[in-house]
Amino acid sequence: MKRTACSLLIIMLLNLVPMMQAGAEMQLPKPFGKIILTIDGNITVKNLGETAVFDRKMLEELDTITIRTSTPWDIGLSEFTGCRMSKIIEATGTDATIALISALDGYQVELPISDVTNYDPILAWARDGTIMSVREKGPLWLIYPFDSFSNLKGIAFSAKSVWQIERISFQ
Amino acid sequence: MSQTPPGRIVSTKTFIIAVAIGFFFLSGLFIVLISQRIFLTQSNYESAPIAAYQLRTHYTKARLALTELANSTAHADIDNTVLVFDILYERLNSLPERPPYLGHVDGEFAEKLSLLQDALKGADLFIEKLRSAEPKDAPALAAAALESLDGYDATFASFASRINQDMADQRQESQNRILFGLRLLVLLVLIVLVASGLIVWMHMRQLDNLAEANANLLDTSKKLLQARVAAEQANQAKSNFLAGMSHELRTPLNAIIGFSDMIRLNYAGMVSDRAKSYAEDIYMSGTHLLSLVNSILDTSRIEQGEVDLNESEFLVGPILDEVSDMMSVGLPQKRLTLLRPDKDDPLRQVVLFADRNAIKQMMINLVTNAIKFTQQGGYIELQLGESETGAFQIVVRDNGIGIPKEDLPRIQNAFERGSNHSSLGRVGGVIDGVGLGLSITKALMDRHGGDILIESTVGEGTVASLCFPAWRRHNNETAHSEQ
Repeated sequence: MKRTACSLLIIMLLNLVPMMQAGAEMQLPKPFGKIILTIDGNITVKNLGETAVFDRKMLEELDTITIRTSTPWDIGLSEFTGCRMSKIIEATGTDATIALISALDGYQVELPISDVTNYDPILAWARDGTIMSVREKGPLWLIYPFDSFSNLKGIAFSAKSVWQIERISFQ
Repeated sequence: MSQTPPGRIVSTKTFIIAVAIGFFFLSGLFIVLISQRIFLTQSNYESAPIAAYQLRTHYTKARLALTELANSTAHADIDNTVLVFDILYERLNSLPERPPYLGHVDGEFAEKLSLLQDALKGADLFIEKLRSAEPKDAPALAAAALESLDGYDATFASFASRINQDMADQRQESQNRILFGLRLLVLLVLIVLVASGLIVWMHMRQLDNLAEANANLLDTSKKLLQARVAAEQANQAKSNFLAGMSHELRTPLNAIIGFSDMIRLNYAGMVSDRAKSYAEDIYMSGTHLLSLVNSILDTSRIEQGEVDLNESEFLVGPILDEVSDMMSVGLPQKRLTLLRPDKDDPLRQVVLFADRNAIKQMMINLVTNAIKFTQQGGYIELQLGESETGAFQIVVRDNGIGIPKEDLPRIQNAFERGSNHSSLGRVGGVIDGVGLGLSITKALMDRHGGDILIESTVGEGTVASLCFPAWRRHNNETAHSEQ
């Protein structure tokens, strides 16, 4: 019993080390342009009070990736450019299991972090090379790689594909 | 004893057809159900009413923001107003022109949609200016935008409610179809189950019937066997009885014949002519009766298998003459002619290996028959013949009344004679006998490994042939030496 408790303590301590290191090393710059994404909740890296805020340039520097997929709302393929959700989680140093995503119109949805590890969705800001305005579902649109997984076609995932995102709250 | 009903067999083919039809209906139903399921899970199905609701909400929000901006002088939030309008714009343009599964409201839907889009475009002229406008110009622009939206409130409201109503209808319809399909499915499964059960039951019943029929068949064959044994025993008893009776009959007959003979020949002293004539009748009747009894005795012996052949080699010619001489005695009275082969017929020299007495008896039987069935003035001819295979034949031919074709097969059986003959016998009193001659002859020929052939035409005559197998014809020289 004693031995088990001892080893458990050691493992916990060992786990703390990289977290502390991450917290120490990771730092977010201050935004210069218009803030398009505000992140709050259970995060360790912040740059404005209790929140982490991003302009488009910060997101671009964090990660820029383009995926080609169809969506449940359109006919044909589109190229979406954005930042992977996993990079956001990394950058804000969160160990949350749920991300509460809010849109400009007040729409809210709970995104399980397991979706991020399973499907690797992105926060897209451009579609076919053009920055998306609010009228084009911008500034940010959570896009799953719909064509890569057959189980993403259902209504559960289209409901989680929030557009006009303005805030993410890790819980 | 119940019998298996014929024609109740459910063939494998019927079964396969039934199963195929069942599968056909089931798969059709599954396809219908799956297509309904796809309809229900389509994101547009749910998102259309939500979008309609949101559209209405955001229209209200946008009007509110524009109204506030139009009425305010200071602190007007231009950015927020533009944002709210942008969201409304996005909602309206997110609606597809031809919404899936909204088939029956298609025309009205598209018409109203374009109407609303035009209204927003009208307002948008002022919103675009508002984006970069000075705060002091903002209320005027907002008021202008509001003005261009005037009169569309009802359209926005009815548009949303119409979508909701239609989608609800669609959903209800789809649910009804699924429910109907499920009921049909359950019904079909039940039918298939009942049908399979029925088929299995019928097969089981057929098996039962088959087993029963088998048992009946066994029973019947057992009974048949018993009946045969009984029949054979009865036949044996009959033969025994006949043999015994014949023997017992011959003893008193000998006395009758002997004494009547003595009386008619005056050995018992002189009698009157009348008494002599009576004695003559007694004698004739007695000898006839004796011959009948002898025939019966022969038949029963043959049936009991008691006849052994006393085989030897002999020339055919002499036996032919013996029979001819013997049978010629009473012929002139009946005005019949008996012809025999020429003295120099080479076949007279043939040597047969057979039972000489039996051959003689058979010939006598055949000639007796011929005499019986040939009327006055006719002829009877004895002939010899041989076939290419070496078989030897003794033929008795007459030009008598003949035998009808239908009677030919059965006249060789004991106690049976042609119907024609018996009727003639009754009417004319010409023909008598008990009908054993041919059956005895046939039995004896069987013993010799040969056969008797009878050909006849009614009114023209009959040809009876004793056919001996080739091996019974022996070498000529040895017979001569024995003679």
